[in-house]
Amino acid sequence: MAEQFYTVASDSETTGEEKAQQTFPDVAIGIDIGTSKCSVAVWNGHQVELLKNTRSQKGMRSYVMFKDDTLSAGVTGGATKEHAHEERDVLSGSAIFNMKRLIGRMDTDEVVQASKTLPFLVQTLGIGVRPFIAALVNNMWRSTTPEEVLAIFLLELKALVEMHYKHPVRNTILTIPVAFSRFQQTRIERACAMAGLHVLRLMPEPTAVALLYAQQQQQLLHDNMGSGIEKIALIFNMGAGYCDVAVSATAGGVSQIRALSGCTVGGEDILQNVMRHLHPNFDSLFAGHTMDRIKSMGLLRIATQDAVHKLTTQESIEINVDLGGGQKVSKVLGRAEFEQVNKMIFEECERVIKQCLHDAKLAPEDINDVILVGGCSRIPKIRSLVLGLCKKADSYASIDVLEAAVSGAALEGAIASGVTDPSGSLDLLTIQATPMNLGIRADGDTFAAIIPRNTAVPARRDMLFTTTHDNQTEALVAVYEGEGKQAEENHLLGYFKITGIPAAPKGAVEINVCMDIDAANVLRVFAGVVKPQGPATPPFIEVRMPTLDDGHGWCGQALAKMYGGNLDLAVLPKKLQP
Amino acid sequence: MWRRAGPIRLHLAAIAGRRIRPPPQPPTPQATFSSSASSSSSFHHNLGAFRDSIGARSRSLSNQTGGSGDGECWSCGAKGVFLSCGSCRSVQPVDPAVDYFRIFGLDRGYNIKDNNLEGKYKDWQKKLHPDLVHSKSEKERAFAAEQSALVIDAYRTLSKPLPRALYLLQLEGIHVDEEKTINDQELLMEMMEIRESVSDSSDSQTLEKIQSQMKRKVETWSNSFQEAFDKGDFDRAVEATQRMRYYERAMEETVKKL
Repeated sequence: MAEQFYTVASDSETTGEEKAQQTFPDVAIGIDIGTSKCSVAVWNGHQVELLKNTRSQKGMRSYVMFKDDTLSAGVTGGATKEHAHEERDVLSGSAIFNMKRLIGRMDTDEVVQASKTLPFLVQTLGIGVRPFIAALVNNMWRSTTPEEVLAIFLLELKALVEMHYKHPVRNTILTIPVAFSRFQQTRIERACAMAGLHVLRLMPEPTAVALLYAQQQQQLLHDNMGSGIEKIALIFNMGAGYCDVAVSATAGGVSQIRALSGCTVGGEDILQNVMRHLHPNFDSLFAGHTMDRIKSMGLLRIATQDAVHKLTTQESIEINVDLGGGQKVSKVLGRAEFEQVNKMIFEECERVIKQCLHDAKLAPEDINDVILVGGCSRIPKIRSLVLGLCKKADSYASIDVLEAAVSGAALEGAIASGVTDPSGSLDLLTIQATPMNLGIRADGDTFAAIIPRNTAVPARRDMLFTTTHDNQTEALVAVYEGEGKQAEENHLLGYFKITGIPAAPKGAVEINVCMDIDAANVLRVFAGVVKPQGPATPPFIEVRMPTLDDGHGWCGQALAKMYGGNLDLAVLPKKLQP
Repeated sequence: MWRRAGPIRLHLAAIAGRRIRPPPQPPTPQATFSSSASSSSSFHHNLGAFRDSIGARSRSLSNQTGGSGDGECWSCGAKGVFLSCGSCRSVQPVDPAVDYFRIFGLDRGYNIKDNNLEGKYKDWQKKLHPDLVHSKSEKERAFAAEQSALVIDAYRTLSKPLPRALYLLQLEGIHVDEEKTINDQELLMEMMEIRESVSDSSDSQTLEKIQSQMKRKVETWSNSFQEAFDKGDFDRAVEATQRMRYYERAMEETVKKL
């Protein structure tokens, strides 16, 4: 995305038309920032290459360790073998992790609330502002922000790539969850800018997988194994933090994203459910964040993580862990019990898949391939429920569960950087769709969707509104994103006023609100009076969204308190548009 | 049931190379405010002018010259260029005279015999999509964004019968109201009955039955649209689109319950 003013290193390089040719191959790198693990991949001129850190890991634990005056991220994982961070160090309170779940969220958000049982400090005041997070350094809580933590991590990741390829890296394609709001996307871009990375595109994770799938289908065609006809794939991606589904229609290297849906459930929720099941006093016990409690929390977490992993292959698992202070957990956990404990999560996954199929207007029979990716797709119950809903016996096999998203991002990075490949393996395109409805508040607190979800991007749509009071000279345009019928159930992205509306009886003035998403996924809202016309009407307003920074939780309420319904708009009865 | 739109709409029809109809007198004062798809296009004119200042997409609707859609490539000067240049592969600025049918190489008409719309749509996107011109000039990237959006709209419009019908009427300068109160008592009763039977039925079999009934109704009215449109009987053509809309809505209701 074109947040060029953030990137200090760029400037003249990108603005000039002829200067696009760099002396070094400036291929955008693909980054998959997972809630639990991150990976980075680059098109190396022939194929996508996943980079390994000094510990030979492709999937690097997502955390930043705060120690005295030094910070170190999970990319190097403590650099040397002797100082290598163990999972218990990560859980000691000194490391911040799960950034992807915290970034761009308010303290009233249930995902933030659920993060209060993490070993580091997540403090909330419940007033719709950014939560306070802090890491334990020398027995003191030192404050930080999710953006800062992510930036430190990305800086280490960038250094890893630069060391490997021996040239500077500037552009990147990042994968994000479908459920990320546009506000969260700006926070990710901000973190990248802090790390000196320029984001060419933020790609919903399953759409990156769709791109990789399109490449494989093209390859099959080259090898005379494929049929060349359109293939419908359902991609289910579930990691530690999020669950995403996409339906794509692929032919000739072009993937059209037919539908996207996502939610904020993931492995972290499964983990917490099991911890609560194993230790019924879990929440009250760990609320205080005292030193001994952090330690026992870490021990319980490690034991539970291990159990959840083992239950993917074993029917039951015995858990024996001494939490200290006379507290012990001894239990045999069977798979059926595990599934019962996480019933709500599996139901939510089902809902997301059904919604995606419904939005794509497809029946299970229409699907050619079901692609399962993300760590949680290894859980037998999840596999069976996805395959069951799609009426398939098995999933698509030629894709790596953990590497698919980052590989797709690296492919997009090469394509977006203008790299071509003689064998045609970069002759690909993904036509993205909007994951959520975009619209404004109108008719009281109703959400009027102007660009409905799953609209192909780039897109521009408009809608007519009118005044709700006689002689109303100003109107408030409050822009929201989400699935709720009521405006307040959605994410507020920003607001502005249309002023100087000619005095007229209510309902007589026509106000056009146009939303435009360009190729870089930048959202602009244009608004103005279209009837009456003439020199007495005010000029149009263009506003790039989101305009909000922090504290967006109470902005909607503040506006309501300040203006009531005085500046309200109403939807004009629609015309049949082709 | 419907209203011919105001002068600006006609202007659009004129751009599209159609004959100009005399602007009709609005029957009610309210009508002054509801010939509004026209305002939306005029809005784009304004937007176009406005966008000149930000240097993006300004040519969308302000460039109204050239009726055929074939031009000279802005980059290499090749002749007979359509959407994208065949010789230098540069994406061309949007020509508002291009109608959706032409993009897909189709004759203008309701009954399109082509079943490979999606394939053609994807072929165009491979030539026009902004993702593929990231490294090109800002000017060409703006063209790509415009053209890509145009082709998306064209595909969305032509791939489904009702939007295709409405688009054909739009090209004739006719504009249809969506939220029109139903005056036809018979239809009103029928819609109520359908709604009731949808809400009363709980088993998927009954719902599927209603669904296939609705589907047949849509098809019937789709046929009568074609017949009326071909004869130039636009009153009946408009009525047919409204019927199609009602039955499609009823179908959506059943899908929600299924």
